[in-house]
Amino acid sequence: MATTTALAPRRRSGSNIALRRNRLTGIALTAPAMIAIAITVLFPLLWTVSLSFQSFDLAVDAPPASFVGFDNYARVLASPGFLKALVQTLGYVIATLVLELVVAMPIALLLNRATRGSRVLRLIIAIPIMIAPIVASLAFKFLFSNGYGFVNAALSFVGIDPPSWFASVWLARGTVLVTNMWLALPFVILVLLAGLSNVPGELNEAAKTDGANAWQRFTHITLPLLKPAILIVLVIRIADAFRVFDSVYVLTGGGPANSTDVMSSYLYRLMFSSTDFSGSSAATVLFVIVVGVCAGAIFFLLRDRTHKA
Amino acid sequence: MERRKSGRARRWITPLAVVAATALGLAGCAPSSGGSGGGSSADISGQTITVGVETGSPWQAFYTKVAPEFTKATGVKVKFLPVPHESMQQQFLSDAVSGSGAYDVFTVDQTWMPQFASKGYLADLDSILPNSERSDFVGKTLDTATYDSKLYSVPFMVHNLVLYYRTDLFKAAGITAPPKTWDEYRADAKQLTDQAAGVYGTIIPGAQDVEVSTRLESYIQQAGGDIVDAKGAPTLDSEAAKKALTMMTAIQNDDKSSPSGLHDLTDIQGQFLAGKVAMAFVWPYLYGMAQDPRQSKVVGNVDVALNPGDPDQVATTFSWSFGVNSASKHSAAAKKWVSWSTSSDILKQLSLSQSVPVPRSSAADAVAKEGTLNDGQKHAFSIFNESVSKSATMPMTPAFPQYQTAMSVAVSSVMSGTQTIDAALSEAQKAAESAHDSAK
Repeated sequence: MATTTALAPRRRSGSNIALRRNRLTGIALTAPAMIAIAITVLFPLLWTVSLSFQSFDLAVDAPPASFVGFDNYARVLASPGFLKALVQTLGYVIATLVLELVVAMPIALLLNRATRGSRVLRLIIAIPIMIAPIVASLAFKFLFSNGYGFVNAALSFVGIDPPSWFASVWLARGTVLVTNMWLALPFVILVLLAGLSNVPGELNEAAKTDGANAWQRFTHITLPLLKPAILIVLVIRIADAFRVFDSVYVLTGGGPANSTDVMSSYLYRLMFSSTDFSGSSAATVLFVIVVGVCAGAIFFLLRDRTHKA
Repeated sequence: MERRKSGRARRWITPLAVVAATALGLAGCAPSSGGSGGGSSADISGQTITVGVETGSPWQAFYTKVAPEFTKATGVKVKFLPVPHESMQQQFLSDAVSGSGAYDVFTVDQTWMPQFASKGYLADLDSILPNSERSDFVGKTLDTATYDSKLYSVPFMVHNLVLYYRTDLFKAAGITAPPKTWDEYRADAKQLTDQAAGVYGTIIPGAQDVEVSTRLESYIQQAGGDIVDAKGAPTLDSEAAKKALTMMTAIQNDDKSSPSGLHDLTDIQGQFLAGKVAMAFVWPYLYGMAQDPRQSKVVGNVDVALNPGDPDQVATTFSWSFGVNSASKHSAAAKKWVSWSTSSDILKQLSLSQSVPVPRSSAADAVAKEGTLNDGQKHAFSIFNESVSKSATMPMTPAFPQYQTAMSVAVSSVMSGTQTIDAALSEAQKAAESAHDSAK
């Protein structure tokens, strides 16, 4: 017993040194990335938060900035333009996330089968990822154009009266949705494909043997195992969706009647047209809070509940 | 369990405290705009100035070509940084706010010139244009570069919308002259519309776009009104504005003399050059494009005329000018460029090479006497100059970009059928009043 007690302290100090060395190594290896994130993300964010509590003018020889508490926030929250842009952004985000998953899932399931041509199809599907959003938006603007757009020409060819895509509120919203889906679907499909490759084939085989139909196998086996991939898609796409700007700016300019105005275009106007730097700082912080809450909600809803017991 | 919970809590407290302390510390830091520039009027030879220009514009092409003459005369090298039209205000504003002086000279669009001048981002140029030079500028063209009685830029082009029309279609329809009144314009547009052939009498703007707002402002002035009153307060819900929107909706929706959809400048000039529209209101630069077979399907069948009015045959004038960044470190050299690039001889060359009207009467006279111009070009230039001399410019207020936004929303609301004319103008008036109050 004395020997065991005498041995124990020597093992504990050796493991402490190893632990400390591992911790220091970890810190040293992650420090450059943390410093870069602090400079490029944390500092601008905190700086914007501080600006949002001040009233200032960036004119030459302007009076010094003054602390105004929550005045900027009150002004922005009372602005009908901000609330309209926020509601429209939320509507767009929900619509685009749902539609992307609904459209991408069957395509990913199809591509997951080892059929002939699936490799070539995967390459073709990935092409939009290489196109800059502004270029795609310009292309879609011409595609949907009344006078010389391919979409209306095709509709006329099959005998359908072509609509004015940018003249109607819901059609204009549709063009923004379609343009962004074209850009985003490849990413969603590829992530789902990666997730599907981790679903063991034996589970499906066993379920099939037990008499489960395709829908049952999808909902009880494939979908639960795809949760991590869906979570990745939702978290990354929610940030992208909230940031939508290029397609709105190019396709509709926020119109008609501000019906496609989103947070990014609202902020752009507040900053560069109205040169309201204080207001745009407050609006930016509110925007970040909204995005954070939505992302947090997704993490919460899709959290792993298996270890709770 | 309790030890694990308190350990988790401790892990959050420290980083949160650091973040909160940093934020509070930053709250005490005030932002400031860029400082003032430098550069005395001592020898400027050997310096290099950077001029921000609109990408793909006629003036980018022209000034890039003639800049070596400036270098030869002054020893100052000129570097051009092209910026897309839509990004110019944003890029120049970012540079001005930062005070970096990356641009010494801005190509200034009049619509945001008062905004820049009011914030001190443009240098005062009164000293570079003596009275003897000012009298050479046509009519009120220097008003387009003046804010609060000081000159902040010097225009190299002052223009407004003119009526482009298809001479062949007019002849075929038996219409002997372009319309002078709104009633004639509406009647001619109806007569010239042949939907089966895919040709419309005219094309009415409707997109939510600041370019569209310049058209509404022109229509309001044609109806005898303006977007501000004598004291400079906005009057977007005036009878003239209602008249203008009523005319637009009548042609678009009742007569169907305009293609369906909400049109912007790209649509308007594109459809005219493609031969799908008989009359369109566009800027003078379109004349050269209309005569170029690589860009136009209507070469030889285009002429220009004054805008029809009800009662005034006018359109709002706007200018493009050169202004000096107040944060420029080569302000003397930059001012020399502004003075040289807007001199009579250079403007004459600009007008001839790019078919654009210029604001100096000596240059315009020299162009008119130029033996290389054909009759069509001479007529076009005379219309451009007459149209500018009859017309008024935009209100020189820092709130003008917000007035443009309010007008463009009103136009798109009405043309899309989302709001009535009264409701749209009432909303636009409220937005403009708020902008006006903020700008005081």
